[in-house]
Amino acid sequence: MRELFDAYTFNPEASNVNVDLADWYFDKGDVAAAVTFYLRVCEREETDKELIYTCLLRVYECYKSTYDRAETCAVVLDHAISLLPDRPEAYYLQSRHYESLKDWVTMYMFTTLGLRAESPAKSLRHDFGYIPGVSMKFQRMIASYGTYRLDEGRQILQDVKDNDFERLPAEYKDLVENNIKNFMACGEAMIMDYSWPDYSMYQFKFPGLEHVERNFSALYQDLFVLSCLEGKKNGTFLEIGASHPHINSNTALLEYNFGWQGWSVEINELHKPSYEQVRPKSTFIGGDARDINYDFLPETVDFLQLDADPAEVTYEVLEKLPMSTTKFAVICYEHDHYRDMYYNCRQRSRKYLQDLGYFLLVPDISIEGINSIEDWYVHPDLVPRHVIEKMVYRPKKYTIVMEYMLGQLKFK
Amino acid sequence: MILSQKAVREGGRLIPLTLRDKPYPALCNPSILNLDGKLIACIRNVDYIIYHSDFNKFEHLHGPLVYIHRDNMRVLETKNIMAELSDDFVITKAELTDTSELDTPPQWEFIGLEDARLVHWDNKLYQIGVRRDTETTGRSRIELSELDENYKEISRTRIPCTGADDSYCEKNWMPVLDQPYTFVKWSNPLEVVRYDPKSHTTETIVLRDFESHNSLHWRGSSQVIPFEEGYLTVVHETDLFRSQLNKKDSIYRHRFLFWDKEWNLVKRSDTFNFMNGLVEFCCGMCEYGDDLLITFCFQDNAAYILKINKSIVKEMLL
Repeated sequence: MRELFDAYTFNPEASNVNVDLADWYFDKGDVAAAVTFYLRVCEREETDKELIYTCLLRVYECYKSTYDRAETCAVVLDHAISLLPDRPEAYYLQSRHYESLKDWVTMYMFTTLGLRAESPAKSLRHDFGYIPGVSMKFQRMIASYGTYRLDEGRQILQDVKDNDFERLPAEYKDLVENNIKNFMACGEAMIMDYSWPDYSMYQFKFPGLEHVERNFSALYQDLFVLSCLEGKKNGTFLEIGASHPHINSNTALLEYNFGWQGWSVEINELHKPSYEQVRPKSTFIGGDARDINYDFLPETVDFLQLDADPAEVTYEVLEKLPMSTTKFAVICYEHDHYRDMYYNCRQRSRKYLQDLGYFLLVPDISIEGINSIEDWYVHPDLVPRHVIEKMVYRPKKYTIVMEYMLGQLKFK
Repeated sequence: MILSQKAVREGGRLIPLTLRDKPYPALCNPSILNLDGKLIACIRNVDYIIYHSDFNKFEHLHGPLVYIHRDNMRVLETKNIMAELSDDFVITKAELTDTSELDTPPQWEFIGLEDARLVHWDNKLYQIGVRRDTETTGRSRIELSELDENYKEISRTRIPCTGADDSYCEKNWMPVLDQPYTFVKWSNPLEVVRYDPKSHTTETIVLRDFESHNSLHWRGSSQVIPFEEGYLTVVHETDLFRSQLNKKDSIYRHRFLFWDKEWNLVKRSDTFNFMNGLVEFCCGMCEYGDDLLITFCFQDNAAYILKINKSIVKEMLL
């Protein structure tokens, strides 16, 4: 410490001496003193623009750490941007600054500028938390939501999750997880419904479809099952995560229009009276699907739905089912890959089911091609070969379910 | 001249006063007292951080010299931290001065005792500074704040000005260490005043003519200390000016003054700065063996002690 101050007394104009002193104060948490010496560097350094830039960002950090000095924070970062407009760090910090002020429009603007800034060729003296290729993308995602550009936000979030998640610092991982839970579900809540005017567009027509006025599933699962089984009547189902008897139900259409019956497992037992009232052919089983003894199942069941949030619970139920004694013709497996950060249930369930002889007919069911929600399987012993050949689909990335089922997107 | 450079070159030291835990970010205007060998300091702690663009390269929106308060903050509150120092000038104990029992609701936006100097008079330890929060007009007066052994304020005395006590602003009176309740109120023309605690009045005890060959702008900085058959102090001069963009800026310079026992100005030094800064302010000085310890702040953002050999100061006095 003494050497630092002795050096300063003899060379008070030298940038390197001032920045050493500034760093010393900064590290001690004495940010007011640090501001003074960082600014001295900015005012005195003639050639090293990266050093000046670094010091301006540090001045920002000092003021930021003392709260409620927003105007000065912005001024300092503006200076940094003017000095080196091709570097991304100041844009990144500006975006964070305006994020803290909930000024989403300005934040979005700085992410626009920041995404155009070149990757830094020369590293700075200090780390400002900027991760090339990730930080600005993440900021952009938040700004997108803030400015109600929801599709863009979801797309970036999925991209970060798929491509950058492992590189993220722990606090970012938490943020990504939380945002996925909060925002991606917006897409899931959308209903891809069928009604009779869609008949001509429907890609996999089956006997009886002409009498279907509407379906009930959220993602055409009920129609998919009937297509696979060519409009089978009086089939059977096991429904894990049944929820409401007809809202977003994957089995209501099967029961109402095609005379199916089966077992509806649901943890929320409040649904039981409704099932008894409007789903007389369904046996409602209340409770945690992991605690149920499934020995009652016959050797074959036409349809298995697995949807017990979260993803790891769904997988636990899959392992619990007596798959060696019961064969399912069609399976809709909801792996919620878009928000399954750690368990990788999509991959594990695929291996598990394919090892049992199931064929992944349609992978990565998605609403908008941004988030992967489900996989759809058939068992080749129970679904005709010509049907499999007709319905099998291999998307480049995700299966946009409306395009798959109707051949195009409907405009509402 | 850079005083710290001169001091360090000849064996002195520049010592930062830092504290990690403090209510507000900036430490400034420290004062120091040698209390029978025990060094204690009073450091002003404020919630603004000065932004100073020395050469107008990276000016703030509001100019080259801006006091950055919290946004929408309408008050400037000062707290004072008492620090005990080791022989090696390390802070061994720091206590926020507890003023709670004597505080009253502030009437003006400058709150607290500002620029306090330390003295030990009549076996009592005082912070002596300026307070502006007692009247809605912000009228300022020098106040004596008596501290107990735990640095808690136990009495507070507002010192009237001389005469009709009708002035608006009194500040930077320099307490004379060996003459209780005596202050150099102004340096040119020299005016020495004494406060009488019994009558609660203040009278002028020395008044000299204006010396036109000396600066008109000598303002109080450190305490006045007995030194070599006379009195030594540090005063400051301020050059307030406007930048090219008509924004406020300023330069502070200091100098030593030496009076004999009859308050005749015998010697003075040339102006100097402490650390090559444009905004610096000295608030304390004491003897420490063969050295003087001078306390000052740099840009209002950092506090320091300069240990300088007495012989250097004597050489500077012309």
